[in-house]
Amino acid sequence: MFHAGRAPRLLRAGNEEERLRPLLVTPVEGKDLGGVLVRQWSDGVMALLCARAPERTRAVARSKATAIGVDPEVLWDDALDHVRAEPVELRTAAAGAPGPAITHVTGDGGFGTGHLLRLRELVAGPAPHGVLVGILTSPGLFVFHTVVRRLWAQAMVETFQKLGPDRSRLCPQRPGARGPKAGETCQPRRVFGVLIRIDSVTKRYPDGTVAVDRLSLEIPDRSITVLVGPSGCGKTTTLRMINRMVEPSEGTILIDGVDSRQQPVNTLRRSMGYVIQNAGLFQHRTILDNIATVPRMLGWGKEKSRARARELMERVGLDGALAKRYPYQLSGGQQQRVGVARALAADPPVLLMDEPFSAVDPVVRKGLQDELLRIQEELGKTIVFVTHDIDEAVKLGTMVAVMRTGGHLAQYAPPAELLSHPADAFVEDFLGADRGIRRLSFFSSAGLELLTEPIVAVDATAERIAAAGSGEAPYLLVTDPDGKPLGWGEPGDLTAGEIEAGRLLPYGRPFAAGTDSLRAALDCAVLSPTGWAVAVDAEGRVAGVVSQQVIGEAIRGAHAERSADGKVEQVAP
Amino acid sequence: MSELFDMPSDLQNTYFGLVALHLREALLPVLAGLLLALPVAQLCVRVRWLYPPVLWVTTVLYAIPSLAFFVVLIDYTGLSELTVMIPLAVYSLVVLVPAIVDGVRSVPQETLAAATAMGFGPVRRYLQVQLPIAAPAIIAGLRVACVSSVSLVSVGMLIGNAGALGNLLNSGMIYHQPRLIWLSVVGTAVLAILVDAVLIGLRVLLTPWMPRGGTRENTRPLAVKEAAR
Ligand SMILES: Nc1ncnc2c1ncn2[C@@H]1O[C@H](COP(=O)(O)OP(=O)(O)OP(=O)(O)O)[C@@H](O)[C@H]1O
Ligand SMILES: [Mg+2]
Repeated sequence: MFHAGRAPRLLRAGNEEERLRPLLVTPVEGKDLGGVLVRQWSDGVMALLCARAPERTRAVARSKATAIGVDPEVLWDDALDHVRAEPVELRTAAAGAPGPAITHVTGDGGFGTGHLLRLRELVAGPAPHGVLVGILTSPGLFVFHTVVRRLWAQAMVETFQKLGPDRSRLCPQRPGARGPKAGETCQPRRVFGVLIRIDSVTKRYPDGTVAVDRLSLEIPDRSITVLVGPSGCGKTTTLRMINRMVEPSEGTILIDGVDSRQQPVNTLRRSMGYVIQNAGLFQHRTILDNIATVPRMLGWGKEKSRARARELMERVGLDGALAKRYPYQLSGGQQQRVGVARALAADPPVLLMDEPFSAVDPVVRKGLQDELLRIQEELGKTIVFVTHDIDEAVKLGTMVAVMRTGGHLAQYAPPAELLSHPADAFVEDFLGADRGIRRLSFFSSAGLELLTEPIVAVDATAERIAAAGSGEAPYLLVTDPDGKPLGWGEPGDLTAGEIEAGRLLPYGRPFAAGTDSLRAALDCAVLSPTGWAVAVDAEGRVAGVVSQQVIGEAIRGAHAERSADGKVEQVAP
Repeated sequence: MSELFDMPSDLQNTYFGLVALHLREALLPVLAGLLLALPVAQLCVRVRWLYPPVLWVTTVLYAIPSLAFFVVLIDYTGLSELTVMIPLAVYSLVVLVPAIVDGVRSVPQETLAAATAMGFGPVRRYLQVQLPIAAPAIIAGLRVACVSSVSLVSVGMLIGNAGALGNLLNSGMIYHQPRLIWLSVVGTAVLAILVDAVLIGLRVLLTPWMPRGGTRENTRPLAVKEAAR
């Protein structure tokens, strides 16, 4: 898969990544290797696995790396931080094992720099195998993570410089070493691409109710998959079958390619966070202890668990002062945040959420949704989210599964496709009457032609006003000297030097040029008394104005384009 | 002053000796009842149909007069404290079993679901989630059981010197000494109040997580907890 000349995939560029790039992409032995730095990671669970089964962990790390498009011969594995194992052991284990020699996945960047020294030793030491192409680090969960990463990158740079162009010491050819042969093209193997696979699963309750009927669903890794549907259609049942709170009557559920029944049920559950309506907090424990529950059960020790809990409180936007409170002393929204933090505590790769935000008011709900998207962006979990609110589904989902009563899957598609091509009348009905408007959320306003000519500053000269007024626009937008919008005025009413902001027509709510969707732009135009929408830049200065008519044309154009190439591209709704 | 607490020699005990005896005879049965009620109640929670018959049995046992118990038990345990304490333990079940069952059942469904989802096994879930959350209900049951036990100990006078403050009451009536009667009645009442107060204190100590005073923002439970240290 390392196509010659392929640019390294930098999922998150930062200074250290930039500095490492040339070093990591140096051709080795005539093969052009892609350099990869991936920050999005979640390996708390992996680290624990490692403590018990290093071989399996390496396999997991490797399959993850493969899924994101690297086929590494060496991955540095720092998961051993948890067990304080010596690098020697790591090397020994690697020497005998086929596949990547060493995986280095740090989930524990903040806990000392011991692994840094180990890394140096590994890089400069006598016998690591294979070729370094990837560094997988955990998400920035830990306070010192950034610092450590920087130090770490520094160490890498130094080591590589010391080694110079001669990598023979670093990568002696191991007999049977993996890696693409010259001229070989490698297809990315989607080992980790599908994390959860529901395979024709049926649930029949003892009383004969068929809650889920032969449901098959591939839930992609590191994305939010939303199950939506009317009450009683089997969403909760489906969700609970994933962590085996409900056992399927027929069919199998594969987690990371493995039948979920193969591991002990409580081990499975601890590897999945679970968030429910009203949070279901332990009312007899403090917020901190609630969050620390699973880490404690996994044997992290009191101090470490609590430190982790504090960190998560910050992550989900909870004030640290709430740590010692009890659940009854929190608002519904705060409790829900605690529920999310608790589910994330042991850094599970999977998060199951059952109508988590349905019991809070719309404003709080929007906050929680945004927070969830942000957390997902940072942590890259596989989230399965149940809701009966189609708006929530469209907003959060990477994929949306619409279910109908009786536990049947009606449609499984990305939200934009769902809105543009509902599979049948049921889905269409479920999407509601304003599906067309909602769909505009997925069209970018970037292509809109913004007019700048009918814009005048409040201190404009008479000539400037006259020039601006001669255009097609019936109104002129007056801005303050900074370029922030003040309001609309008719060209005839505006006299140079005497423009009063208070007498102008209001300009409504502006939209952010390029970043907002066509839906937002249309909304601005509809709300504006002049029928013209105001576009602003990130600083709130006017970027231009656009009429309803032009927006309408853009919408028609977007529709035509979309149906022509059928491509679905998502814009923040 | 010492005359006030002078005891008739047939009681073979000082006043405070009697009080201590009374306390022991009242509380040990409740403790035994609690230890018995916990597994029974858990069984009733798990096997739902068992609860009504168990409740029925405890009620019927409660209806048996203590004298009847004594008659049967004397053959086995003689005229001892144990003969008094066994019926008291049995009586406490009538309050404790429903208190525990209701307490455990009052744990919200979603709390249980959350616990299960986090990988709590049944035992851990019972000990770490259900029982702590049921604590207020259990302590409420204990209060009733203890107070009634304190008053019931007096019937022990029927089988000799096992009635503690009850024997004192008896002596007071035989010797026509109102002082002894007062000592007995007031002593029993004070004992009951004190035991109750201790249990209330215990509850406050054990359940800092209970909403108090209704307002959400108050931090009083914490203050109470601090003060209790
Ligand atoms: N323990 C149970 N025993 C019998 N039937 C059940 C049980 N749990 C759920 N059901 C039935 O299975 C069907 C699906 O229930 P489920 O809870 O999965 O629905 P849902 O989609 O989550 O609905 P809602 O949106 O109302 O939460 C319903 O008809 C319900 O009555
Ligand atoms: Mg449900």
